[in-house]
Amino acid sequence: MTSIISGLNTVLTFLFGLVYWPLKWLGPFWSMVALSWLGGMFMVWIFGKVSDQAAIRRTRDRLSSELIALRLYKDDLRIFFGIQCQVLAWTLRYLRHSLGPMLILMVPTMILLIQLNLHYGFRPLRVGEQTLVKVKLRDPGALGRGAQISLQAPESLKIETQGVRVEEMREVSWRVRGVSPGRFDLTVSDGKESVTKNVAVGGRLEGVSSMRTGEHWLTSLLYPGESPIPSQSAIESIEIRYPELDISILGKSMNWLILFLVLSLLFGYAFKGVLGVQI
Amino acid sequence: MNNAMNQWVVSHVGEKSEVLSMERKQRPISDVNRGHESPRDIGCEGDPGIQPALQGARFMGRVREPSRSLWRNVPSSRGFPATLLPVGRGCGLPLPSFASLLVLCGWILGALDLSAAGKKVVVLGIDGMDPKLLQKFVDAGRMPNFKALMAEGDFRPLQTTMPPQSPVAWSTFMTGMDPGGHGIFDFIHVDQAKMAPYNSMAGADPAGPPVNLGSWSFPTSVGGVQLLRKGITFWEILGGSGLRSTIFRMPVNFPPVKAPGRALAGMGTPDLIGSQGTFSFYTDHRKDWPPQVSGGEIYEVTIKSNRVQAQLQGPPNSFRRFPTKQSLDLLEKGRAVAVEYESPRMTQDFVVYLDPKAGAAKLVVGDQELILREKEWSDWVHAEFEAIPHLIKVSSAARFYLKQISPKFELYVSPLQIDPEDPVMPVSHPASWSKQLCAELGRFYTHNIPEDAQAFKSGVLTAQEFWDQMIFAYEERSRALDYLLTHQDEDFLFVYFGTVDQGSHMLWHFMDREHPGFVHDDVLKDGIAKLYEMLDGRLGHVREVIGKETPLVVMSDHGFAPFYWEVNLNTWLLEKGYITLKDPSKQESGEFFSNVDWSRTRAYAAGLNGLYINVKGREKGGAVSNGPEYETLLDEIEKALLEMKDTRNNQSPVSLVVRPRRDFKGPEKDKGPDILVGYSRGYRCSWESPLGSFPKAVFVDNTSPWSGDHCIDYRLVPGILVTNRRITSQTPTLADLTVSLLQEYSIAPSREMLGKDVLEPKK
Amino acid sequence: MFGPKVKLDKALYEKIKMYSHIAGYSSVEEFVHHALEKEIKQFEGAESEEEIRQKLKGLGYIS
Repeated sequence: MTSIISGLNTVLTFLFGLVYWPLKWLGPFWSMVALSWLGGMFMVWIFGKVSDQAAIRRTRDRLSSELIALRLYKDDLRIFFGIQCQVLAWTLRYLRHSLGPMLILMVPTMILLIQLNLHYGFRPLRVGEQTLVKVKLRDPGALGRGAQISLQAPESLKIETQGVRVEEMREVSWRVRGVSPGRFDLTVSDGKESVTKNVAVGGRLEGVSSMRTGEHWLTSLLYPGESPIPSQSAIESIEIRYPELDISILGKSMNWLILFLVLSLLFGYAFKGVLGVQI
Repeated sequence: MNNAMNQWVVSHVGEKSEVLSMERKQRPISDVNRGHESPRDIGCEGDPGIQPALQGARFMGRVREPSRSLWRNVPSSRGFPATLLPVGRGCGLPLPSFASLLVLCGWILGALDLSAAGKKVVVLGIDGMDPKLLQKFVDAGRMPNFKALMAEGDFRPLQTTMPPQSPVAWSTFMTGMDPGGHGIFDFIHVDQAKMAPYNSMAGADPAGPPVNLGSWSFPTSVGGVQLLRKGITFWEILGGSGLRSTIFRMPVNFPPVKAPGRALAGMGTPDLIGSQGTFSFYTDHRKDWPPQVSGGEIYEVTIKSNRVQAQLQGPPNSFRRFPTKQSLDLLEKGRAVAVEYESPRMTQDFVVYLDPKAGAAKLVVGDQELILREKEWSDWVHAEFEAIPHLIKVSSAARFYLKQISPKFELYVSPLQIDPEDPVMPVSHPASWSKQLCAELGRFYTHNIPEDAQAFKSGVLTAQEFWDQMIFAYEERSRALDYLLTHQDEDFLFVYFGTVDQGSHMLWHFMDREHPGFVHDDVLKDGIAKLYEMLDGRLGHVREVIGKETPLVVMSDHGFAPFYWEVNLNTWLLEKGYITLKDPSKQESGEFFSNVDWSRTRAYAAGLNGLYINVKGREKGGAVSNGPEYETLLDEIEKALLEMKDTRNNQSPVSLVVRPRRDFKGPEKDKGPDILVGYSRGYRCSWESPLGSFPKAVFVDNTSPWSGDHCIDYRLVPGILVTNRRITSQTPTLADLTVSLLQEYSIAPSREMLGKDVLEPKK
Repeated sequence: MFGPKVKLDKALYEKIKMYSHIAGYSSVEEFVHHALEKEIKQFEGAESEEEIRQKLKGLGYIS
C-alpha cells in the first residue's frame, strides 16, 4: 500500500510541479490566485464528468419552479405548506445527485491540498536563519537506554547545538542555521543505520518537505515530498521546522488554505457556465 | 510624474513664495492669524493637539527643489525668508479664505510629497553622551568620525535642564520650553491628593464602567493611555508647515503625537504589564534570592524528569474578575461584606526540556520551539495571552536567556514587550508603522529603556550578560538607523540611541578606581569607551550616506558623572525636623511615606531631585500655609540644603537649589516640586528616598553596579552638540537647539520657546 | 487599647452595633475598621502600594 502511495506521490508531485513551475514566478499570492482558478475549474470539470448533469438540471429546474410557486401561493396556507414539502423533497433529491460527485471530488481535492501544502505551507530557510531539526524515534525506551543519535549536515547548514534529548517525547532536536543556499541532505544516524532528510536553504518560492515520515500509508499520503523511512528503521520521522510561508496582499497576511478554498469556490462558480456544468 | 509636478511647483508656487517673502516681514502667526484660518486647514491629520503649534509658529518658507533623490544636498535656506502664508494684513483678498486656500494647496502638495522637496535635516540623539568623555576619546584618536565632524563644523557642551534627567531634558529639546512649560520635572511625580508617586511620562485612562456577568466583566468603553507631557513638539510645528518627520524612539512620546510623518515611541513606553520594564527569572533555587527584586519577578520552578513547566505572567485580564483574597477571608469568617473583585493575570504556558549532557534545552512557547545552549540568548519569541478564548488575544514578544541548566536551573525572560507586529497599545504613528518596521527589521524592543540595568543591579544578569543584552538592543537600533537612512523620504529624521546612557550608568565602576564599588575587569574597564566608539562608527555611516551638505546634528540630553555617594534626602529632612514619623521606631520600614505623620510634617522629598513643601489644600495632609509661611520655609530649606555637609569627607553634597515657581516659565511651573536639588559631583539622591523611605544614615556609599549618574546640579553634566554648522553661542542650550532646528527650515519659534538660533547658516 | 479614639453620637453607635451584628462582624471595631478602610480606598483611588510599585518597577534610578 505504502509503495503504491509512494509511487503515486512521485507522479502527482511531478505533475503538480509541471503546472506550478511557470506560475511560481508570480510570487506567493498571485500564483495562489492562478492555482485557485485552475483548481476551481478543474473541480467543476470533474463534477461535470462524475455527476448526472441531466438529473441535476431537472432537479434544479423543478426546485426553481417550486420556489416561484411558493411566492405565488403565499396567501393560501394549505398550498403553501404543500409546496414547502415539495421544496424539501426536491432539495433532498438535489443533494442525492450532488453528494456522490462531491464525495468523489474529495479525492482530487485532498491530493491538491496536499500538494499545495507542500508548496505553500512553508518556505525554505533563509541564509542566516535558524530552525530546529527534530528526530523522532520509534522505541519509547531508546533514549533512556542511551541511544546515540547523531546528525550530519553539509557545510551549507551549520549545526549549532548538540542534540537535545527529550525522552518523554522520544525526540532529539538540534538547532541549525542556513549558511548558503541550496538543497541538500542531512543524515541522521543511530550508530547502526543512517536516514537522510532533504533540506532547502534560500531560493524563491520552492516547495519544501517539512517532514520525512515512516512507512504508513496515511503519513506517506500527507507528506509526499520525500520517500518514506523504512519501517524497520529506529527513526520514525525527521522534521525540519521551516518558517511558514507568508502570503500577504496589501500588508495583510493570509492563510493559504482559506485563500485557496475561497478563491477556488468563487472561480468555480463564476466559470461553471463556460464549462457548461450544472452545480 | 513627480519631476513634472515638481517643476510646476517650482515655477508656480516656489517663485511666488519668494516674491511674497520679499514683501513681508516675519511675524508670528499668533500675531496675525488670530481669528483667521483654522489650523485644521493645514491638514495635520486631524490632530487637535497641533493647533496651538500653528498659533504659535511662523513660517518663513522654503526653497523648493525639483529633485527627488533621498538625500538632496540643498544649500540652507536660512535667512532667506519666503512665505506661503499671507502674514500681512493688506493682502487685498478676503484673508481667511485666501489663506485657507493657500494653506490647503500647500498641504495637498505636501501630501503629494512635493512641498517637502526642501532640505532634510538629520539629528542623532545620543542619550547621556558626555562632552568631557567625548573630548577625551576624540583626543585619544578613538573617534575619528566625531573628530571630522567637529573639524567640519563645531562642538560645544550643550546646556541641559534642571534637573538633568532624560524625560525633562528631552521634553525641553522637543518643545523648546523648560519644565514650567512642558510639565515634566522628574521621572517620578507625586499625586499630592493621594501622596502617591507615579510615572511622570504617561498615564492610563480607565475603561468605562463594566457590565459584570458572574466572573466575566465587559467594560462599556475601552481605556486608553495618555501622554502627560504638555506643549507642542518642533516636529508638530514642522508638520504644520507641510513638512514630514520621522521621529524614531524619542523619549516622552508615548503614545506618539500625531504629526505628519512617522514616529516610534521611546522612553516612557510601558511594557505589556504596564510597568517600566519587569523581567522574569525562573529558578529552582528561589531561596538564593531576596523575596523581592527591583524591576523583576523571581519565580520558583521545579524540575521533573528534566522538564520545567512555567508561565509567562501577562497583564491582568480585565474581562475576568474573581473575589479578592481579603473578601474571601471575610466571607469565610461569616461576615456579610460587599465582595471586592480583582482581575487575574493572563498567562502563557511554556515548557523547558533540559538536557544537561548536551548543555542545552528545548523551549516550547505556544507553537514555537527553540533550542538554547547554556548562556545563550534567544531572538524574539512571540507570546500570546488569551483574554477571551478564541476571540481576544494580546500579542507580546520576549527574549529568553538560559543562564544555567545545572546544578541550578536559571532562566531569564525579558520584560514582555508590546508586540510591534500587533501592538495592543499605540507604540507608533501611524499605528501601522511599527508593523511595517517589523516586516523590514524583525521584532524589536518597544518598552521604555531596553537595556536591562535592573537585572544587572539585582544580580540576575552579570556584567557580561548585561553587556551582551545591551549590545543586542544597540544593534536593533543600529539596523533601524540604516533602514531609515536608506528609506527616508521625510524632511526631518531623528534617531535616538540609549546605549551610551545605560552603559555609562552601569559600567562607570569598571573605569573609575575611586568608585566605592570599583571592580577590576580588563575588558569592561574600557566598556564606556567602546560604546562611544560604536556610536562613532554609526556617525561615520550617517555622514557617508547623507553627504556633507545635509545639516547634521549630533546631540545628547545630558552628560555623566560618577555616583559615589547616596543622599537619603528624606532622612536628612527627618533629622532636620521637617518630617515627623508616626512611629520613629519603625523608621526604616515601609515605603511611600507610610510612616509619616503629615500633620507634623512640613517638607518631604520625592522623585530624584524633587523636594516638596507639605502645603495645606494641596497635599492630602497639608500642614504649611501658602504665603509667607511657605516662602520662609523655602528660604530656610534652601539655605540648609546648601549648607549640608557630608562629615565623612567634609564635602558639600548640594551645590545648587532651583525653585521652579521662581526660576521657571510657563503654566506648569506650579505643578512640580517646590525645590529641585542639584547635587554636587559624586553625589545623588539615594535608591530609597525617591519613593518615600527613610534609611538610617543620610550619606551612604553607593556600591551598586549603577555607578554613574547625572541627576545632579545641571551645570556639572552638560550634554554635547556636534554639528556640521558653526555654533554661534559658547553656551548653547537644549532649548536653543529646538529653535535652531526650526530655523533650518526658516520657521520661526513659537512665543513659548525659550531658546535662540545658535547655528550659523552653511556658507 | 490606647490608640486614638473617635467620638460618635449615641444613635449612630447603636446603628453600627446593630448592623455589625447583622453582618456577622465579631466586634463593632472590626466593622468600623472595615467600613472606613473601604471608604479611604475610594478616596485614595484604587491603586494599592503594590500597583504603584508595579508601575514604577523597572526604572533603574530607584530601588
